[in-house]
Amino acid sequence: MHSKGLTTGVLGPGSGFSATIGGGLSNSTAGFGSTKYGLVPDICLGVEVVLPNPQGTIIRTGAAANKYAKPFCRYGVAPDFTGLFLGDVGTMGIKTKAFLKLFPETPYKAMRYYILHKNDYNKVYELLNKLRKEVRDGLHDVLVIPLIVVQLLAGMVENKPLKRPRLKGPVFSILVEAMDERVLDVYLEKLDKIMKDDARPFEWQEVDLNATLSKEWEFNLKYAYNYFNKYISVAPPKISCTTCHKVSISDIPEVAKLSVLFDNNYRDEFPPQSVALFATVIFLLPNGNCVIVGGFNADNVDEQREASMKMWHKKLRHQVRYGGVHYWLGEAISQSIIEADAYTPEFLQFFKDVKKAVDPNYLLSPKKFHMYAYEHDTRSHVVDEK
Amino acid sequence: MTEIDPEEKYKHLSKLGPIILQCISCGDCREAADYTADPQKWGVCVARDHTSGFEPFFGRGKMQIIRSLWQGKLKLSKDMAEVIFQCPTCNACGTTCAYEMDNAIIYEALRAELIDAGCGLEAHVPMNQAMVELLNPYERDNKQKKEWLNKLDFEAKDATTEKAEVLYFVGCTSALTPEVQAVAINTAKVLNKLGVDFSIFGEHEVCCGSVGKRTGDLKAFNSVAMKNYELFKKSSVSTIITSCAGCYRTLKIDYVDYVEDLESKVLHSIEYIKSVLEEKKIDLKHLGITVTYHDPCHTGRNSGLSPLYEEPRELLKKLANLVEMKTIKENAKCCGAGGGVKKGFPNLALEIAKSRIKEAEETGADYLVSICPFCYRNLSDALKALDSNIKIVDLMELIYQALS
Repeated sequence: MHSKGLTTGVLGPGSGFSATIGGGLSNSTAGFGSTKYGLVPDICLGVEVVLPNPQGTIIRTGAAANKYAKPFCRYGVAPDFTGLFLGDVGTMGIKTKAFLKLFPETPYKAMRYYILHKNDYNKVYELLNKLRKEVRDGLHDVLVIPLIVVQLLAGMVENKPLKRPRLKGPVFSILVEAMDERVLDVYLEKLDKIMKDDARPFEWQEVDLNATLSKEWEFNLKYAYNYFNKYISVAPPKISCTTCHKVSISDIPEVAKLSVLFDNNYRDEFPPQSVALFATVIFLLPNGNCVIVGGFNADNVDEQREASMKMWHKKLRHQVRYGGVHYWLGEAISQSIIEADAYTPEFLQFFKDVKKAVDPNYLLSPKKFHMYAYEHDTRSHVVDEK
Repeated sequence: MTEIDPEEKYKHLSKLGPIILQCISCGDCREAADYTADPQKWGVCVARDHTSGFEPFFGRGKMQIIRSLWQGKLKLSKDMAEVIFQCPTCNACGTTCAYEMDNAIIYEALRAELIDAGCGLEAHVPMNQAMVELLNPYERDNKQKKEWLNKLDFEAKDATTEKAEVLYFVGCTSALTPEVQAVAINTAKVLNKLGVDFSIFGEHEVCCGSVGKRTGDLKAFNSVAMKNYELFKKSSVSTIITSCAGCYRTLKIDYVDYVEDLESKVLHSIEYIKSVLEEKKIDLKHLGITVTYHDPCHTGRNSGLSPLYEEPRELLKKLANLVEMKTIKENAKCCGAGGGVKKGFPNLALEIAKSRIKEAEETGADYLVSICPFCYRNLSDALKALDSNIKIVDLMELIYQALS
């Protein structure tokens, strides 16, 4: 596609080299390009699915459900059954094909970094809001890297500057793009104007002499795909309990407080020597929400696995209960939504009925959402907590 | 709590330390593609591409197997060996790893554990046994290693009795495989033409042990390595050159303690010839042909900090029009022969080689060039199977023509 000047816009999650299209769709993941193009399901026009019924029925959704049509659009042929298989964590069927939107590749891109004068999440929200209102489609990706992570990264580099860097707040990492170079210049001017009172331009060379200056930045997939991996396991062998979730950007200040409070309240229950961070990265999404990337890690040894799992579920339930919507589901997260009693009984019954229609024997991923069988009382897993 | 002490039970793996548990299961080793990289990367694991593709066939699954062994959740078995040995240990997974793990070394340690537990691959047993007893893994009389010398129109020095500046370590594949003998013959002819004072062990040459090392039979490897050490010591050799990528990697990397003790330098013949041509200011004639170049894993990803990516290309550009394949250098696709795959799973080796031949055909080149007789042999088999029009040639053969 690249040689034809085309792109899917969102290129998948930070683990992109290892990610699959099916995985991105099943988990509703965000990733590189998501500030502009949305989540992976947002670029999906339809899927081909093998249903886990005794017949192994194969269906196509979106325009592809019309045997006379090419799969050029998602809505209008029937109810949006595509959505049934997106964010389903593989519980509804086995995706064998996906039809994705394509966009013309945007030729002009530029990267800018700003560091805030203060470690203030009210300011983070204000700036994110201004950026999305004033730069809009020019924003390809906006990431906010918290001060603690910047300090950690500064401590890990090989080629340190002699002068100790002045690090006072989170770093905004902003990638803008435009079809015309002049428009790109306008976007860059807007960035400077928005950021000038609360932040200063930042270069990674301030903490790492080997880093590239933003004016020399060039697009490469390593940037897009490998930025996430290095945060997953800070020292081997570790287990990572990620708690990435979406919230409205206006809730960032409150969520930051709640998260720190939780970590302080339950400090003793975390596995020994585990590292818990409120957020590694805040990643702006369309429509005024964002992903808060975070979690904690622990030693990957038998003795700590149970404590890690217990704490992971507890933290996930906490996030579900303050209104967080998780970035991907998987087993632990989908179970924690049930444990937090997030669904109304009516919704849960509807979910089980739909699952029964496509998977009468509940064959696929029975542990996810604690849906082991149609008759199983899913609500028996609800955990009451103050 | 596990009942075993893995440090004690898995002595080969434990030697590598905590890196064996470093894998975060991200899966970059599965099929990373990066059109923005230089050179571009189009996929990673040839074994995964040509098998069922399930987890144990690429890096992440192998690392999970090792973790499970370590935690006492899995046992070494023949079934495990059947999967673990379907890997040419090309180390493309290690190259793509965000944590820069050297996966091939870890897989070799796992193979050594399998061998020690009596779970090695049956097909490898006669090969490694022959390596120790007959001094070559081809189960042939080692005297046959001197037969190719009859095709030279000059006498090469005998390294067991005569001193020379350079020892040409031919390698078993070139010496014993008739269709690949051209590699040895042309290397000797080029050395002679350039007036290099060199010697050859001939029928006394002992296998470098690469196949033993790659397939985990470390007893067999140590046996031939010690014999070679003694031979090198007796011949007081200061420079060893070899035209085989497998021997090159083994002598240079795996023999590091031995050659440091001998104060010998190990070079690939291409490296050496290039330096002689430059020193003597000899130009190569342009042959008017179009070629493409296959990077052997053992002169590239597996050859330590100084891979031979540019040297063969610089020579090729002088004597031919070089057109590159889609995957080159550290991101080059493996031919599929290495790591005991050619012996253990010949069909898999052939299928991998076929896809490499197709990649070469896409360039429109007349010749596919390599600097490894083992790649040469496997790619030749694929070429025949595909009835391809592209011709395969060793770089030394072209150099000889360009000097003539």
